[in-house]
Amino acid sequence: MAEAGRGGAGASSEGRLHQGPENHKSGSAGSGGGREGMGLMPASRCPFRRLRAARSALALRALVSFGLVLMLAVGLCSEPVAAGDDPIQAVADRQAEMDRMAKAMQVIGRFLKNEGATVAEVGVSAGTIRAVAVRLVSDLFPEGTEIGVGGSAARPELWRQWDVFGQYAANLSATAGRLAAVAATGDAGAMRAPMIAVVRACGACHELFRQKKP
Amino acid sequence: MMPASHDQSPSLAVNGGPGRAGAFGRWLGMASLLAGLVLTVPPVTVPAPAMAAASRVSSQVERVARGQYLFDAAGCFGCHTDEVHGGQRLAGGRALDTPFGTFYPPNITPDPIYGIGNWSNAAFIRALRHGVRADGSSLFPAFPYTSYTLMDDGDILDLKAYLMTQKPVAQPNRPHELKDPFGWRVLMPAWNLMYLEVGPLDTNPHQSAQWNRGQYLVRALGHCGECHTRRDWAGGLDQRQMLAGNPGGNGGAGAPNLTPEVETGLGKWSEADLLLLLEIGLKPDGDVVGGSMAEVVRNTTSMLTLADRKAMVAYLRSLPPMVFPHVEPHR
Ligand code: HEC
Ligand code: HEC
Ligand code: HEC
Repeated sequence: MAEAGRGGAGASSEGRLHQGPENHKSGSAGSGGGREGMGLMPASRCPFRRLRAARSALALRALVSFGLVLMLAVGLCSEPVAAGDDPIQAVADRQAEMDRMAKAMQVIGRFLKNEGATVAEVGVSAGTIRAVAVRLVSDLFPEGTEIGVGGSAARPELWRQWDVFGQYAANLSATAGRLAAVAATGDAGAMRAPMIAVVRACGACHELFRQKKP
Repeated sequence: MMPASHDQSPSLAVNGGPGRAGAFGRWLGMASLLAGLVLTVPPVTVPAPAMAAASRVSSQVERVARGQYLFDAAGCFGCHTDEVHGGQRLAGGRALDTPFGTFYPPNITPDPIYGIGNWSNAAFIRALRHGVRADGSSLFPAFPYTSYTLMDDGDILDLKAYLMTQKPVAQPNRPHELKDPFGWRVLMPAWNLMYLEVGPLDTNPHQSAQWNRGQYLVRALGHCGECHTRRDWAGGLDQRQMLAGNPGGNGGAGAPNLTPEVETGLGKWSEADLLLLLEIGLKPDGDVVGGSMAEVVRNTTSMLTLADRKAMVAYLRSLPPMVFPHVEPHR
């Protein structure tokens, strides 16, 4: 009965349902990669831009060591890109990018299933995922592209909780980066854990912000 | 009538023999429903041989460990903990929205007043087997006792032993908010007569031990059918289409067909595809599984042993292929 309705919930309660600490755990794991979060900020609006541009090693180190400052920075800087002229196209474009990540994940799946994917191929896939991950915040989710626009399955909460969304994106980029680094060592035995971390990073964001499709 | 999991579950020694308990339980269930009486199930007797204290301790430790595994395999955590609002573990669940209204799963910590700390073993077995509370009133099938009924007594008691090691929390239950007549507990015995097939699950002697274990994991513990089976107007599972998918589930998005039918089911999935989905939630098309299944993977199927996941897959792949049921148009 409830199981029927556990899904029967509709967007609001599903949203609640999935915001478990588990998610936030993976979210904040990403804020270890908060530095990456910074990198994702739309440069035009970010007050820390000049600081970044200075590229002073010292300033960077200071930043990294102050997690609090980082969180603040993410909060301050990550604002969604304003709506463009063609929101329907924007939805189609980002779905194509998501599909590209799914193709890359297929390679990872084939590796895990022992179906012939090589370490090098996994490395390339990790690179693809990382490249898309960086764009999730910078340009793939402009305002005005939520459910109802074209075939969008992006929940409106995504923009209301933009910094949470940013953390999940940063988490994906961090986990994909780690996978790429391990793949670069050629150590097939060490790849399982980082691959699973990437899968979890995809799922954690979907649980909160992607609407299931009929 | 042997419990499917008996090879994995040394807990058989705990009860007088599952066959007897099952038949007796079945009779009890009927009797209590018909008469509407609070019957007392004879307490399950634990043989008390002169065990050395040490071995008693270690057997208790093992039992709790088995209970923990069953707790994961049965997915008790997710419903009974309000994770989102930082609720305490097992102290009362998150809102379950259903077509019948909103259920708030109760406190199942060992707290003697607000939880189930005072429940006897018999009462606990009765709750899972027959959907009846300690005070004799009926439970709603939002609590999936319609699946847990298939568990055997030994496993149910191991599960209880584990629950009793959890931290007691003095938190009162929140009343459900249900639409009439679905909120009338007095109707439940009639519902049970129509829909409840009281367990435990029979072993199928024509199938392997692995298949039987898989059936037990899928049907009894994992309660996969509760989501992946179509329901009728009163919320009863359509047994003829067990696991063939539920077009109305998952917020209208539908819960997929798990039978090996080629077009609408898992017919094209390999064993490795299914194992990977149950372990980490990655689908063959490179997408990650979503909806409530993401949580099932996280809390349940990823926690199982590889042997158990293989057993589940073997069972699913042996099901008769059925087409995903179509949705009746709304009138
Ligand atoms: C930070 C959040 C986030 C992360 C991380 C993320 N996704 Fe998504 N994904 C979304 C949202 C939101 C949508 C819905 C977009 C839409 O429909 O416009 C989506 C949609 C999709 C879709 C459906 C696209 C379509 O054609 O409709 C696929 C496939 C997908 N994601 C795969 C992935 C994979 C694989 C990963 C990990 C490698 C991943 N996603 C990581 C947020 C995320
Ligand atoms: C799908 C969600 C769900 C799952 C999974 C679930 N429960 Fe429950 N449970 C409920 C709901 C809802 C109720 C309240 C039903 C009612 O009020 O009639 C409940 C009631 C109970 C009760 C009766 C408590 C009381 O005070 O009346 C017990 C005991 C219990 N559950 C134990 C468990 C155990 C053990 C598991 C795992 C094997 C489990 N539940 C899994 C939803 C769930
Ligand atoms: C709480 C409801 C629920 C329970 C319990 C549940 N599932 Fe699911 N399952 C779903 C939903 C919803 C989906 C679709 C997920 C999506 O949209 O990505 C799904 C998807 C799946 C899939 C992927 C199928 C496909 O075609 O993509 C498999 C395999 C699966 N479940 C197996 C199981 C097994 C085995 C169990 C028992 C251990 C189980 N499920 C228990 C709700 C549930």
